Parts: sequence; structure tokens; C-alpha cells
Amino acid sequence: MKNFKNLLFLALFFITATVLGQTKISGTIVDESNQPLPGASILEKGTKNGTTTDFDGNFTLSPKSNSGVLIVSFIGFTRKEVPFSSSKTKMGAIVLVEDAGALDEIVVTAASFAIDRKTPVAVSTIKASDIERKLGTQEFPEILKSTPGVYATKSGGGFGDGRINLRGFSSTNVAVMINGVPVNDMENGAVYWSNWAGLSDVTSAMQVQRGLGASKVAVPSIGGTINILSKTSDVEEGGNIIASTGNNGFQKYGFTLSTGLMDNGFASTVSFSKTSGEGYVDGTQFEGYNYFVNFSKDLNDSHKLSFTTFGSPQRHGQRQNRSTVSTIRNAQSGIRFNPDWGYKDGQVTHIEDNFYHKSQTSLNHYWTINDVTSLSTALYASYGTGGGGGNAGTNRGLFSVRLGGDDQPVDLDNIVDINRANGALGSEAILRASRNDHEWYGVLSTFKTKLADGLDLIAGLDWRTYTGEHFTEVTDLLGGQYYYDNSNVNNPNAALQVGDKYGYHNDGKVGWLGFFGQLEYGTENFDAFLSTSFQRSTYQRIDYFQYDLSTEAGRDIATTDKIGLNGYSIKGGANYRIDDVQNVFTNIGYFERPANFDAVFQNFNNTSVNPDAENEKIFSIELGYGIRSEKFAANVNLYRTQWNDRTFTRRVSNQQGTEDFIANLLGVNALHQGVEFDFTYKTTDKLSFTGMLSLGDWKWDNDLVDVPIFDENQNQVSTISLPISGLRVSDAAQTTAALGTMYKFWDKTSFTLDYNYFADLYAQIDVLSYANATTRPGDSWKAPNYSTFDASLRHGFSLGEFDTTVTVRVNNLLDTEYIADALDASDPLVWFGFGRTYSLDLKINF
Amino acid sequence: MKKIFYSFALLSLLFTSCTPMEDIYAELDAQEKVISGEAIYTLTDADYTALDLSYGNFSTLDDAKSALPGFLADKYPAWGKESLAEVTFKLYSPKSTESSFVAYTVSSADYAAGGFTYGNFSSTSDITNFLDTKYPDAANRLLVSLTYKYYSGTVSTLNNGFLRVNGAWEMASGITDAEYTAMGEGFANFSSTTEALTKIPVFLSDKFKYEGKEAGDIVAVMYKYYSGSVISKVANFVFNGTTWSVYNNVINETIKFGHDGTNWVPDNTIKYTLTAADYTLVGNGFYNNFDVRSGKAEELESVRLDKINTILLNNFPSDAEGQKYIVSYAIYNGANGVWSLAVIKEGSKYVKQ
Repeated sequence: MKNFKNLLFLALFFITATVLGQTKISGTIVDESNQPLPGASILEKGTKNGTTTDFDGNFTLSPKSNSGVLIVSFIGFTRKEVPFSSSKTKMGAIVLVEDAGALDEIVVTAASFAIDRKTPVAVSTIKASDIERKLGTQEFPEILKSTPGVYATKSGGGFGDGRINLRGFSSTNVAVMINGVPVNDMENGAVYWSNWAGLSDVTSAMQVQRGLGASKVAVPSIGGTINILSKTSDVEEGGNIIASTGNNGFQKYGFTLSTGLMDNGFASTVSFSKTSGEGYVDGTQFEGYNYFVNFSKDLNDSHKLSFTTFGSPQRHGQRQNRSTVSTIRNAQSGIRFNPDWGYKDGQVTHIEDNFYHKSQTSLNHYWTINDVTSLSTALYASYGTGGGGGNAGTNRGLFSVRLGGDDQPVDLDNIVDINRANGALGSEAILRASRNDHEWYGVLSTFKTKLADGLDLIAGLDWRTYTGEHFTEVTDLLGGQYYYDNSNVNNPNAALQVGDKYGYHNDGKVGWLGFFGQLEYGTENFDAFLSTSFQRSTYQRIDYFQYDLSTEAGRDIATTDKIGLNGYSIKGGANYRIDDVQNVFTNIGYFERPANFDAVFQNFNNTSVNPDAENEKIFSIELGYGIRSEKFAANVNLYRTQWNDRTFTRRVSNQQGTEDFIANLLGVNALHQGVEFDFTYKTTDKLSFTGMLSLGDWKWDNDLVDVPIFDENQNQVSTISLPISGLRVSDAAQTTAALGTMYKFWDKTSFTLDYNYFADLYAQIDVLSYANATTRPGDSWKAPNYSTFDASLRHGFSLGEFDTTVTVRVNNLLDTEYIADALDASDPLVWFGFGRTYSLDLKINF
Repeated sequence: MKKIFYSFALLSLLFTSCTPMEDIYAELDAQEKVISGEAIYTLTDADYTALDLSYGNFSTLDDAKSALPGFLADKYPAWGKESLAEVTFKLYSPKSTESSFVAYTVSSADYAAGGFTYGNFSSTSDITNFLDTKYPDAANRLLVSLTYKYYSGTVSTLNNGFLRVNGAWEMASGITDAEYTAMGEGFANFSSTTEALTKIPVFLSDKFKYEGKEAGDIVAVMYKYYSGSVISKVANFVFNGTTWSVYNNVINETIKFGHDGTNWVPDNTIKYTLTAADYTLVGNGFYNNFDVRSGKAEELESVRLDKINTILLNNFPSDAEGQKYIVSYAIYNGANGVWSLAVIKEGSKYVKQ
């Protein structure tokens, strides 16, 4: 490959410029494994004249000059300048080398993208073309299922309900960053993928950094970091329309329009799509929209502004509750069985549903101050509104009355009849929504400068302010006249109507101020970094229901003081390129992160405040080895992550039994260690293989034995034991493997077959529930190992003058029945993965 | 070579894990799927025919207890363990009537001879003692129409029938002169048995209108009718809840059967589902369920049994020993569900069956 590249360069160098006239330059942009790169940009240097490649990496451009230089770039790849002249119009294949540095370096720095063979972290990068080819109707995180350390499922199977665990850690311990901005929930750290259900359409690159990761800002990267870069604006004028269909009425329509880079330096891309379907699982009908707008303007050589807003408003039926294997097996609809929906007035009605719209808007300013110094600043705002539906009332047993046996939909008409008969007594069973609206504003600023040859300093600021509003509201009285609620002391004995709040209503305010700094040192063969960050979080709770707001005392307690907690991190790493083929790296780091909001404000009130919540401590060390040869590339990583002092609080009474207080217990530790291997092997131009093997050894590390708890007067009032040493970490497959193959029949027609294997999945259990257990618990229930096959076929052709691509995908080709998610119980409660599903896409570029 | 290796690896993985659910499904298949039903059933004429009971009733309770389990197994073939059936059927239960008759009025000498110094009887045993003395060799089904003085607060003269049945005396209430008059009789007797059997049910409705007679109660009545001379006869009448009718020697009997997993057996089990009040009683009123997740309050069955004890003892304080319950209760184990526990009262508490 390298030889080919050199030859190409040599050839180009000796081409003399001749008169070109109005002929066109054409060529194909490919990556190192000769895969075409759709959407790569080609710009005639010194002009605003440019284009982008079609789906097969092909481009044609009418140059303004007879000879010059083409700048070829693609996100995630090294930018390349290729001379052209009238005697050299057929450029052939132009190979770009994969390298996240090809993004505007300033963007890479701000977004903490890892660069292959340079950044010393374990990383897998998913190209936009892979997402387009393989994602289909799967959940967004599932695109990562063939990368090591990842366990991604659809959870209950509702639209956007997917989840991902990295190296055995759940989403609260996995940092997700979109365009460099952390998006984990500010109160509980979780990631809700349904918020980003349309993001795959506008993703230009997605990177999983396992372990500590390359992030400079403080993020909960215990399992790893998922770094998603959205598109910006395309260089070329044009766009595309897409149409998809799939199993269970799946339909998606959308378009993308780009102005192209105009002479005044302005460019804009707008993308919109609508997705709807019945859902594979019963009662999970969904409708979602996705919008994306980007405006970019090069103000001058040193300033660039980019405005981006995107979001995915959606509503979907959910399968919230799991069932036993025998229930599912005996159910009429088998693995599609969902206990959480019913019929009302002949219409499908979701008892459990989710509706949400979170918009993410940012204004990015890229300032190249001089040759060695730059400043990137993102001002962002994110608004979320929506929640999850469920049932409520004094007689929730009515939701067990079904139209037939236990496997049939809930008879909601029966409830309507009963509520109606209640007349002035109101509804005894209703539908409700638990709402969670939020406003989040932030500034993320990253400054980079060269201190000396090979030595860079990066420093920055991460400021955020967040308010989350939580309440339950009545969404359907189910035939009754009102719903009685007496939980709001400021509105006692309330007869509520649809839209009224009940149960609880409070705000969680989270403030965040973080600083970070990193030193990067690089020579020809060696790169190293040393990084540190500091953060201060403040938590404040405002309660509108539990305290009498008409009194001074009530108002005092309704708004708590701000509780401040500090966290910090220090990490470093080094990479050494042994030769052109091999490299080794290591990284090591320690960080402390504050407990989450609920650990501080316990029992959902303003009196059980725990200002002394302990930090969680994470220590991680990792070794990596990589090979990059012409046909074969592989990585091996060894990791050891120690997660210490997992938040563990208990409420106990003092010796007199007069006052409760909160004990913060230390020493609940987990040790996650493992080996990860992945490779790509290109046997011929037509046939290539990818594969990975990930062996995890994730266990709870130690027991707590009779840990004494003292009250404020140092009287021992209680002891706590937690016999969990050696228990397997649950809820993610500890062993995974994948093998994929791609075969190219012709230039534009190819077939892929992917095999995934998952083993050692232990049913989810909260080990803290074993506190003071009388018998020593064993491992939670182990789900059967399973494997699946996915296939795709893609064919490109010209529809008139438009480049058109058709893609067919089948997931779970063999219709294997398997348990993807399990909850530990005497008879475990499970969700099955989907059976065979398919989708068919059409994309027309113009 | 590599291709062969990959193909082999692929195939071997495929065959090892393409049916991950196989073992679990085999385990489930090995378990019987139990349908547990609950029925209240009254045998129809066709059922008696099917049971080869040409008289349309069972001769004895034991006959019913031995025949009905098979009948229920045919009737509800799919039902298994913890099913309950309450079966009502007809039982032949003959009541004796007289075959010979004698009328006697107790004299002062009789009272004196029997040691009844006040010249009257004051208890049923007084009367039977007298009759045993008077008729030591009474033939079976001898009816004595006895006129006697009886003290119950005041002394009154009564006429009642006493029927000798298998060595004991059974009383049949007599009808007073005033009552005959009320029934439109010119003399203190009926003109025919037909008239008697028509009028007495009406008379009984009136007589017992303030007494809490229940369906199935049987009373024996001695009546007089004129056929050349005045003769006394005994007839039995049964109450159906609203009216009286001549007893035809068949009563309705109800037996509960429970399914023990193999057979239907006579059973007193009551199926009971905990109510909101029950949950409140044991401190589970907020969610109205038991939290059986590990580490939670009702994880252990012993804890749930304790709470169920509290509830049953509170709700059914007068249960006899041996009373069985199948208690259904809502649980939360991550999802909502319903579990059940079979208990039996032993001593003063309920234990798991």
C-alpha cells in the first residue's frame, strides 16, 4: 500500500501543467483497505471550488485553473494535497490514511478524538459509512456491538430504548460526548439513547475510547468514552433523499440539503427525517423526527464560526416490565410479548411509554490565534422536555385485568367502566407520566499552544449550569371525573384533571465548574501526555410539594443550600512506534468523582441531606500493542480498572433511636480486568475480514465485614456487612467475540456477513441489596450464551443522473431466540433480543 | 488454508450457540404447566344419569365423596393443583313416618309415678323417660300422640307426636286446636291427607316467620285427620329459603373439593386474595404488595408467612384448626406479579402446607 502511495506521488510530481480547458477531474477516494469513502471533500486549493464524493467514493470536479492542487479531506482521515494538471485529469484512487487528526486539528483537540498510533488509549472508530451500511433499524449503540468490551442491547425493545455497557460498566460510568460536549445526565449520570434516536443520520464519526480515554474534561470514563462527531456543513452544494422500509411497518423518509461552501465563506446543511413503525415488540408503536441544522462561516483565515442545532423528538410505546421465560414462551406472541399495553375504545394504548425532545444547540468558535496557538470555544444550550408514562391509582391491580389470559393486552375499557361508575368518587386507576424537563447551559473552551518543539500545552474551562424539573402528571383519567391527590401540602385534597401535577414536584439544580490542563509531548516515534482536571459540582434541591410555601419556615426548607462536592483526575500515557508496523502504548490514571444527586438528597426530600457523600475512586492502568501492515492490522489491549468506594449509604437511627442519620460506607470495590483483541485482514481486493475477542474478568473485589456505624456522639449503633467478594459483575456479557467478512462482487456491489458471540452474561443484580444478608449470595443467574448473524447487501447504480444506493440488511439472520437482558430473581425476569428483522434503504444523491 | 480455518471456526461457533434457549426450554418442558381453576357447580339430572344414579341422588355422603372426584376430573380435565370445586348434589336422606299409632294423655298418676312432683314435665328428657317407661317394648315407627303438661315459665298443655325410631324418640310438633281453626277447619283435624299436605306448608311459613329457618331445614309435623275416626300421622317438610314443601327424602348437600396435583380430594380450602386493607395491616399499604427483591423486606417466605398469619388471624379469628387457605398476594421483584402461598391452621397459627 505504501509503495502504491509513493508511486502515485512520484507520478503526480512529474506531471507538467498543461492547458486543461473545461475538462473535469475525476477520481475515487478510498481508505487504506481500499474501501470507498463517501462524503469526502475535494477542494481546489486557493478557491471555494469543491465537491464531495458520492457513495462509492467517486468525484468529478471542474477546476477553475489549468493546474493546481486538490485538497482531499475526510473526517477521521489525514488530509492530503494532490496536484492536478490538464494532463492528469484521471486521478485514479486517492488513498487517505485513517487518522482522527484529519479533522480540523482544532476540532480534534476540542472533541478529544483519539488518533491511531499516536494517542495512547484503546480505541475503535466507526466510520459513517459503516453506520449507514450496518445500523439499519438497530439501536444506535448497537453499531458498536462488534467492538471489544461492548455489550449493547435494545433493553425492552422500544424505539430508542437501547443501552450500552463498556467493559462491564453501565451508562452512568460511560462518558458520552457529542461534538466534545458531555451529555450524561447531570443528576444521575445516565445516558438516554432515545434522546439521540436520529443522531446516526448526522454522525460523521463515532469513536469508542475504552478505559480512561482521551478526554481532557472531567467525564465519568470508568468503562470508557463514546465520542460522537456530528456533521458540519458539506462543501458541495446538493443533498440527498432517503427512504427506508423494514419489518413491522418501519418507515423512514428524509432529506439533506447543503448550500455548499459559498464564495462568502458561508455554508449550511439542513437535514430532516421522520421515522415511524409498529415496533417488533407488541405495543411499541413509535413516531420520531430528526432535525439537524448547521451554519458555518469562515470569517477570515483565523476565525471560523459554526452553529449547530439538532434533536430527535419522539414518542414510543415501551416494554418496561420483563417477564419470566415461561411466561414469554407460553405467550401467544412469544418473544414479542409485552405486558405493558392494552386496548381502550378499540385503540392500542401504551400504559408504559416514553416521549421526549432534547435539543442540543451549540455555537462553536474556532480561533487560530497564530501558527502555534489556537482557541476553541463552544457555547451550548440543551433543552429537554418529556417523560415516561405508566399507571397510578389506588387500585393498580386493575391493570392486571386482561382481555383473556395473562399474555393478552390489558382491558382498559374495564377500568373506564369502573372509573365512570365511581362518579363523584373519581378515578381509582389512571395513566400518568413521570416528567423530567431540563435546561442546561454550558461553555467549553479549549486553548492550545506550542511551548517548545514537540511540546504542547492544552488548557481549558468547563462550566455548566443545569436545572431539572421533576414531577408526575395525570395523562389520562380513564373515564373518571378526577384523580384524588393529597401529596401537595400547598394544594391539599386536590381533585386533579389531565395535565395536573401530583405525587412530587421538585427541581434539581446542578452547577459545575471544571478546569483542565494537558501537556503533550511528541517526537518522531514517541508521544506522551500528562493530564489533570479539577471539578466542583454543586447540588441544590427545590421542593414545591412537601413544604408549606405560605410560611417563612416552609419556604426556608423548600430550597436547600447548595451542597458542593469536588472531584479531580490525573492521568498520563505514552505511545511508542517501534517501527512502521508496530506500536506499544500504556496509560495510567486516577480520578475521584463526586456522588450523584440522589446520594446527596436522599429519600427525595430536603431533610435527609447527605453533604458528606464520599467520592468514588477510580484507578486504571492499561497496556496496548498494535500492528498495522498492508493486509493485516490488529490490536491487543490489557486493562485493569479498580472502581473503589462505590456510593453506599444507609439510613440508621442513633443510639437513643431519636434521630435518623445517613452513614456513608466505604469499601465497596469492583475490579474489572481483561484482554481485548481486534483485527482487520484483507485477503484480496474483494474479500476482507474483521474480528475481535474480548475476555473480561469483572468481579466485586471484597467483603464488608461488620463495619461499625457510629452516631454523632461516636456511639456504635449498627454494623453493616456486605458479603460480595468474588461475585461476578452483572448485566453485561463478560466474553464477546465477533467475526465479520465483506465480499465485493463488483465495484459498487458488496455483501457482508457478521457473526457476534456473547457469553457470561449474569442477570442484573444490585449487590448493595446483599447488605447484612444472612446467607452468602452466589453469582446471579447466568443467561445462556448466544450468537447472532447479521448480513447486508448493498448495490449502487445511477438513476438517471443521480447516484443511487440500495441497501438490504437482515439482523439475526437465523432467527435465534436468545436472552439479551435479565434481572436476577428466583425465576429470572428477562427481555429477549429481537428475532429476524430486516430493512431496505434507498438513498438518492443530488 | 486460512479460509478453511475461518470457515471451520465459524461453523463450530454456529453449532455451539445457535440455539441458546435449548436447555432452558427443555427444563420448562419438563415442568407441567398447571391450570388452576375455581368452580361452583350443581349436579344436573344428566349428571346423575351419567353417574349411573337412577334415582337422581346419592344414597350416602360417602358415595358422593368417592364418585365426585372422578366426575370432576372428567368435567375439568385441564385443571391441576390448587384448583377448587364446590359441588352441590342431592343426597337421599329418608325421614321416618309412623307405621302404628297410639294416642295417650298423661294422667296425674303418671306424673306422680314418674316422680314429677309438680304434675308436669319440664324438659325433653322428662318426656322420653316417661315414654320409655310407658312403652318399654315400643315397636319401631310407633307414633305416640301425647298430650301432656309442660312447664316453661308457665304450665301449658301440649299435644305433640313422638316417633319411635331405632330405639329413640323423635318429636314431631303437633297442631293446636286454634291452629286448625286458623286453617279453616271446623274440627281440630283435616279431612284428608291431601288437604293436610297442602295446608301445612302455608301454616309453617306463618308459624316460623319470625324464626330464622334456613334453606334445607327439615321439620316433622304431626297432624290429625278424620277418616271414620281421628288418626294422627307424621309428615316432614323442608324449607327452601322462602317456602315449605313436603320433604321427599332428598336433601341438597355441598362438598368442597381441592385438587392435590393428582386427584380431587374433599377439601375445605378457601382461596383468598389479600386486600388493600390487609397490606395496610402489615405495613405494606403504600405499594399494596410484598417486595421480594433480594435484600428487601419480604424477600424470605418466612417473612411473608408471618404477615399472612397476621392477616388471616385478624380476618378470620374463629377459623377451626385444619382450615386451609391458598393466599394470593401481589409481589414486586423488579416487575409486578402475583404469587400464592398455601397454608393450614395448626394450633393457633397458620403454617405452610
